[in-house]
Amino acid sequence: MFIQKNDLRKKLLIICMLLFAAPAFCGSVNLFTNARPDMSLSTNLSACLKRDLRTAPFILDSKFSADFKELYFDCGSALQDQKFDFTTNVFYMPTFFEKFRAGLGFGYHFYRYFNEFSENDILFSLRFCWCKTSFFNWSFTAGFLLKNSLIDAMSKYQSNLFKNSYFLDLHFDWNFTPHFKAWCSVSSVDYFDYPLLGTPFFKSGVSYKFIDDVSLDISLSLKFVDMITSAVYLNECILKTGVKVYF
Amino acid sequence: MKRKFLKSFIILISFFMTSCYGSWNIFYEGNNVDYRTPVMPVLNDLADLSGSYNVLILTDTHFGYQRKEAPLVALYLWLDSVKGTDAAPKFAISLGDSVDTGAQEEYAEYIRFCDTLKNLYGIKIIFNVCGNHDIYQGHWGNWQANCYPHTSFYKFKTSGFSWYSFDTASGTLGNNQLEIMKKDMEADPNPKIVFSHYPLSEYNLAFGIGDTTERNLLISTFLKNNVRCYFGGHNHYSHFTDIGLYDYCCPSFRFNEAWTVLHVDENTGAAIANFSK
Repeated sequence: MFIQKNDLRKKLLIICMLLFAAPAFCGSVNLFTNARPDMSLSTNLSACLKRDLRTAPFILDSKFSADFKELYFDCGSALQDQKFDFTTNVFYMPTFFEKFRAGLGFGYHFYRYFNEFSENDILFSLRFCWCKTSFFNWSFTAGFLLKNSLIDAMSKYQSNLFKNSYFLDLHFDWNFTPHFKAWCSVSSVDYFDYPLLGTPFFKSGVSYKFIDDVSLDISLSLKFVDMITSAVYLNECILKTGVKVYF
Repeated sequence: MKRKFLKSFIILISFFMTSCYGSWNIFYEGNNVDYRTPVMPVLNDLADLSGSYNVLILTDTHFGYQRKEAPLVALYLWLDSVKGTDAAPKFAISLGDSVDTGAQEEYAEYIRFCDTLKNLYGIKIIFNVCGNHDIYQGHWGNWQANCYPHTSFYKFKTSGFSWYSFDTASGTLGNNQLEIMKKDMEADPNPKIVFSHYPLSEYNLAFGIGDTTERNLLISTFLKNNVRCYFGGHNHYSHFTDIGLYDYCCPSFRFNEAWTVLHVDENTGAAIANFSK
């Protein structure tokens, strides 16, 4: 019985390896695009129309990104009254059959609430992006969120509070023209906000390139705290405007 | 192009409708935690209570839930066994989700249960906390009409302790409650006991205070202001941790068939709880 089980595992392993390797043998997988990356630098000002305990009336943030298509990197920071955030992400997603990309992601977020606490979030994710056409694409991400909180007042009793959680993200993009695009998403985390699972962010926005390498971005974000176990309650509403420079 | 747009729009909207308790609640002001908690009244029911005594803590009784019976007999047997002794609870606290859907007939059943505790077992008062199920489908009005002290954000005093209850029925306490409670705690030197529906540091899957800024600010406020114990329910399991204060996640009365007994000594300032199982 033991031998039979072992044989079955070996066969399954070989089948899985062949399945994953098949696109490579076919030559239909692009592991890396060796070209100059699309780089951008953006600055945003957020007006918090409805505030939870995290948000100040206004938030200023900036973000840099480098997109090699299969390899992506970004980092950014946000500053608001009493709080500072820093986030960075790296994704590696080979292109399969020129239709979709799939791969892994890693992220890190640091959050300091001055005189109260600090948080370190580490994120590991599986990512998928359907990008067959340039007009419309969508992506889905699922991953683990490891959150370590260091509360100043608690330090003499217990060093930290550590929680494991999960996160999900679904994102849609429409490129109506080379200069105008729209997007919307539903996600359990935001770029600078990482609650434990159950608090979705519904976001949508538009981006318009008013000159060749500069775009104006506007987005609206709605945060519904604990939408799974409690009745829907709008906890935070943020209107963000920003300028993005491509180089 | 239109079909693709429509498809993705429907997917996005369907996510919005996933809440177990009805997305239409967003349009109902009773669902707004700031609306429910404009002020924190101070109650004087137990101002004379002193010495050493027990408090019965029940949570997630879910009256109206049909698929599992509440262990009423077991609770009454225990209350019978301590009746007339020092171990008999002086008062009780229900940590929310007293009923399952918030309907009035469920509250009527819950009130009959409370009357039994008061009339047969000498429990003077049952303080209530508002839970997410209690305001299900816009039923905040039913909770407010039926559950003492008819407000979900309040404070009461015994001779040596200050007791605080705040509202987390919407999964958040909001700016207003934290500000009021923080100011009051800073002005009150007494040792404190705090209770609410959601557990403080315990989190399991999507059960608990998911917004860690709220959780961290609460813990920080409590540790700076001599809070000895925190009691929450919601998660349907029992858990205890010492984070500088005793943080109790209490077991569900209906689903875990258990309750919590808090032993208070007003003279020494000690407050320690035990789960019945």
